[in-house]
Amino acid sequence: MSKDYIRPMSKTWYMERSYWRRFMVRELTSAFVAIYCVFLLYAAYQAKSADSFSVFFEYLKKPASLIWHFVVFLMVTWHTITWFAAAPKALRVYKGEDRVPEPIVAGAHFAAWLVVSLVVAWLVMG
Amino acid sequence: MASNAATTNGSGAEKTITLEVFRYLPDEDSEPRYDTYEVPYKQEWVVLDALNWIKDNVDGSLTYRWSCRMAVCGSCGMMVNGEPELTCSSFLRDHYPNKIRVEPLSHFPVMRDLVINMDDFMHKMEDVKTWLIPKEPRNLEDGEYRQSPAELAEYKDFSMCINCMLCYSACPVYGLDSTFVGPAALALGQRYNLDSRDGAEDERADVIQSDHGVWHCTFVGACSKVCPKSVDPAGAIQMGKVKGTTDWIKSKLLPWGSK
Repeated sequence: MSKDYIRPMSKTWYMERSYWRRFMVRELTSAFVAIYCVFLLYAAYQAKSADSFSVFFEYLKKPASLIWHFVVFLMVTWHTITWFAAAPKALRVYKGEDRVPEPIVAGAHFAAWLVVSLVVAWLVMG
Repeated sequence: MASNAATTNGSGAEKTITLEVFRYLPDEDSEPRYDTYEVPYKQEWVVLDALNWIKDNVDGSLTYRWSCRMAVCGSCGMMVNGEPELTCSSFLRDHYPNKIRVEPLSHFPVMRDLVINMDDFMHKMEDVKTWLIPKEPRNLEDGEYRQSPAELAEYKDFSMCINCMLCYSACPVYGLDSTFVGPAALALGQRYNLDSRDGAEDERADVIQSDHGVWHCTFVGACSKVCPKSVDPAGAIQMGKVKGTTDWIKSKLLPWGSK
């Protein structure tokens, strides 16, 4: 009887709203997390002997490697921030009848992140 | 500093605001058009007041849904400058002096002007079975169901949904593939799953835990941002994923299966 009008989404739909753009950035950073995991596996493989690792270690000092690591650091940091900020949605904590506020659940994640980072930094540099 | 004045001036021209309204007549148009209206600007007016003014004074054929004008009925959801909002609680003053573009809720077929076809959403609520299905039949003489405040607190947030469908307009996953059950229907499914009086979680799992259910969600989180009743559908869906995963692990590890 009636003909409804259908409005298809554009191919660049994610540019249209700010929260969609932020979502796409978050998803993009996850690619860097995955790629760096593969990179770490390769690094572990190079550690099979002291010789191969020292060659690999020299490559790590090159400017391209430093830039690559800086970019990965920014991406993974942003991914971690958005991941922990989203954590209270999946982890609803109740204290009796009252829900523990989302900032407290997220804050606990950030605090744990800070503690783990400090322990790792102490192990590596201390 | 006229921009902050609470009342219109006694002398001089009345202040106005421009509304660009999406118009579509299914019997006459093949494409929609935008009609522009100059509407009196009042600080306490919402977009719905402006639409009512147009309908009363300029064009009686302008078609849109509304009822309670107090963010309870969930009828008047529309796109206001590209954002899904209840037009009864979207103030002109938040946009003045810029113009306001009013469109039907995105991601839904348009029936006429600002009215969308909500059949898909109604079918999805049926599929999820968004009503109370008691664990066992109960006679009148057994008396009322008892529920502690803590049991109520578990689902109360999710029970505030007014079926306004703003979350569907915020969700790109639904916009790209309408087979996704979507935020409100999944949140309402969770609302009954979490209710201590309900016993139909397994029945609902056929839909909620399917590829079109919670596992279609990529956690954009926009549904929870636009929800006018703070229902947090994104939270409900992530809870559904956690529950589905733990049930699956239990069914693999425990010889007597899940539960």
